[in-house]
Amino acid sequence: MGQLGNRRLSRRNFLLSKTTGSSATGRDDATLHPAAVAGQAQTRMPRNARAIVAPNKTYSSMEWEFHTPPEEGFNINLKAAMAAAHDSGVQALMLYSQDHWGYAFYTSDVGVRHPRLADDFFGTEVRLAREEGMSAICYYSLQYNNQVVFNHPDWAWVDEQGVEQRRRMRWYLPCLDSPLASGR
Amino acid sequence: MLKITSRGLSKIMSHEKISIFMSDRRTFLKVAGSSAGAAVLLPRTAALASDTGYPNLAQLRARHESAGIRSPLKTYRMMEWEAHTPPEEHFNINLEAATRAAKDSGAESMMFYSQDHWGYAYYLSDVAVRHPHLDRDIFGTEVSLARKLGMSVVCYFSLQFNNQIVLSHPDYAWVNEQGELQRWDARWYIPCLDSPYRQYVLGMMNEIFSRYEVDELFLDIFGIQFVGFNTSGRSPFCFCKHTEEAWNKDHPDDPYGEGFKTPEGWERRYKWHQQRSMTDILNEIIAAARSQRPNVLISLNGGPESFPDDIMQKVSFIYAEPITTTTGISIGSILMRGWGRPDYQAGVFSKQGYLDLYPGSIPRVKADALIVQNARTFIVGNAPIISDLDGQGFSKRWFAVAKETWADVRNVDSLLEGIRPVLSTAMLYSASTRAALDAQKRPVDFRHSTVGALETLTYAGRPVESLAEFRLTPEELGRFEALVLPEVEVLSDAQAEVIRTWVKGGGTLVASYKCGLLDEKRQARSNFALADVFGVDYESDERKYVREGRENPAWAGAYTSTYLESAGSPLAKMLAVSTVGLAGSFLRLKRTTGEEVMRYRLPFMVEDMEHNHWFNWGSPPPGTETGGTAVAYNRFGKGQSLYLGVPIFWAMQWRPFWIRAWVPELMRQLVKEPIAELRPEPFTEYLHGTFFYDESGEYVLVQFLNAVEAAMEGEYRGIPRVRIGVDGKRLKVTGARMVWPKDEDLEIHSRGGRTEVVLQNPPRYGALFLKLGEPVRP
Repeated sequence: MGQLGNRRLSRRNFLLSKTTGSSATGRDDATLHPAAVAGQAQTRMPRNARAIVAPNKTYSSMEWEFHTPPEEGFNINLKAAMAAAHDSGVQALMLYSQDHWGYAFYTSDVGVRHPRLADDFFGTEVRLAREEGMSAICYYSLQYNNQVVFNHPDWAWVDEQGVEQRRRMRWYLPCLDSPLASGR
Repeated sequence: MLKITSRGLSKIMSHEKISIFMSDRRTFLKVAGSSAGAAVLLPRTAALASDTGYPNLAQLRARHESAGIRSPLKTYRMMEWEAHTPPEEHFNINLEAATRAAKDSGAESMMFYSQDHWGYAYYLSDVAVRHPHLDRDIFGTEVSLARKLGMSVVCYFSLQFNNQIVLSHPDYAWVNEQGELQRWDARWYIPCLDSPYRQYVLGMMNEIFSRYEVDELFLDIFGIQFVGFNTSGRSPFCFCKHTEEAWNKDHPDDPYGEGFKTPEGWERRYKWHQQRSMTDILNEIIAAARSQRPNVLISLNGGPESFPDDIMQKVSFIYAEPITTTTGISIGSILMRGWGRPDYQAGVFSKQGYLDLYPGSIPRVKADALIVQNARTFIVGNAPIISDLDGQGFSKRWFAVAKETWADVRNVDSLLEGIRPVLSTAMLYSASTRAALDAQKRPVDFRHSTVGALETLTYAGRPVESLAEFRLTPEELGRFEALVLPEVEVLSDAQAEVIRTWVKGGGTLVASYKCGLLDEKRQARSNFALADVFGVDYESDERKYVREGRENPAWAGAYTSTYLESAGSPLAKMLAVSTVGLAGSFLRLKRTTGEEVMRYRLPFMVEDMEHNHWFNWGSPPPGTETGGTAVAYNRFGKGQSLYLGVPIFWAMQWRPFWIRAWVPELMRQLVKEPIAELRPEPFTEYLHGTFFYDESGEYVLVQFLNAVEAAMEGEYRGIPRVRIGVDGKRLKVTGARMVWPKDEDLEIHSRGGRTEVVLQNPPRYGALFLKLGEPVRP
């Protein structure tokens, strides 16, 4: 049996898909955006899905940029997203533990959890990535942290005039001499 | 030898039907003999059909080359030597050698400077200020040399950049409200035409045209207040004492300086300025020039996009500086052709030869892009003539580049005279919409819409025309298969009725955004003028997601504020995988008879940076709410309409991939059997082509160009195949033959009612004929 993404194919279908060059995902290419079709063609290669490759050895890492404002929910089919990542050729996946908004995506006892976090989102991602045969990288935004600055203006990095510093009008910078660094 | 006096020459050259004349009797007989002697009576290409059954390019070329001096109106090879020469410079230039180099590169018509941006005269003027180092009559010498070499001559005159006059007479300057002298690009000072400079100009006109045998006057820097300043949001008004006195004399009850606060006062002054500084001065210049040379041609630097129609009616032919696209399509030439005049010319700009910035193959591609659209080419030389340069006072490298630029043009231009476009898709060019957006200080938006439409429609491979709105008649529209209204906000009731009747009779209409929400008086309508044709009603303009560049002006439009997704229609199949997005507001619609093709997917949030509402690094992504119909398809009578509630063509300025891919696909789905189509395989936006009937109507001239070299800065990439297909019912093709760059019969195939020619490994530029069993006469 060959395995591509989370779809199990019979050996016969697997071989057929290889020899005809048709999509291994079973989708009708005509429904896809041309860029998606082109990208798909480049990733039609057999992989050993079980051989986890370390982040420092893989040539195919992926990050899901995920700076999620407090209004946003988490209605995401992580299992399907993991399968899509794997199907695209990923061997190591970077997952967010804390983003630029400063929210933790796991059930932290020291960090400020995202206000709509229902469960251990980061932990689930790590587990699913491993199940798909991918290594996991923990992303951590160190010096963009909006919620910390909003809640503790005295932790902000300020200029000579006392003005809080931020980047591209979006991201506030905490000062590492503040209690932020010690986790107090 | 025929002897032609200067007056006689002008008369002949002014007569459009006799634009070329033979150089001598011997050459004439030789050419006539080689072309079966019928050339003067029959259409050119048909007359020169050889035993191959196709026009013989070599014979056409020989006849062209031996035809004598060619009018600036009719040549495809004009050259300008840009020469804005500072007072420090001298004129140690071998003009004879330079003129010969121009001739050798292929020039048939030369533009020489009589007065440049510095404001110096290049001839021995008695009324104007001569260049301080003018050691001889440079302009007069150039004119004589060009004539001796068989080239026609154009007089360049810089009207409203004139440094020396402003520096010598600051009271002649165009000044702003604070009294500051106005200048362009920190270089060129602008005199006011209400000052004594006006008489200075007219004096030069009398001198130049009484002294020199020139065929055309080219006025540069004409209407700079309106074209250059107003369209970029700057004040078009002069506040010098001359202007103020002139206004106050005409309007004793309305002091000049006090009337700018109201829109009416502003508009009144604008029209007054426009009349004096464009229409009146042009009339005066033409009168002065033609009092000396009655048939001299007149042209301006700027076409219909720059000047109102009354100005365009005064010029002998349309010239516009090129509108280029990254894919090399000569959009400006398509726009000019839309004015329905036989002659239109566009420039190919070059860089200084002494800098050696690029290979000649790049301007060659640009020139080819012009002739593909049948525009006459004009090489604008960036300072090729400089005292002492390269030993003879001109850039040897520049002339070599010029020669390469015309490598294809000089071989095929004999094919182009008298050709007529094969018609398939028209884009309405609405000058009324442009004027309405001008009034809203959004002049560039309309250009984005028209350029975006012409470019994406060209990708579809069908013949594309711009149709100026004054040509929107039932007869004209009836010649097209499809009509596109790219964000055409102003539609008169009469225009709407012409379009409605045409669709009902079987036409295919594509329209977008606020189409027809303004009438001809710019009064708002409560619904689209063509709502019944679209199958949707207008409800509102949703602007709350639009961000007007608060963070970074460059992002203003690139900011995605509207998302669309497929509603399951086959027309949206290409986009069915996910949402697509674009900038700008969108219109909320109520469907009546139309079928939903796409619907809005609303952004996750309204971004509000001040209150810390934003998403990630970019625009808010699509959220969970939908916003109703975004694109509707409607059958209307025997025809059909596709309406889009978004400014899809305007958004092409950021070149979203989905728009580039989807618009041509839509056209292919809506008009499945176009009269003609050209498709590269695999598809590339860089290969484009055109279809024109030859003068006899017995052949279709197909030109194609792979312009990738211009985008790749000199690196050429060939493509495997070009498929050319025509509708066998309307064009009964009996054969095909490549004529440039090589002579070769081509196989034709029939497939499903269409006749096809497939070119394997096509050259960069090529021209071929399709032979018609039944001629298509005008």
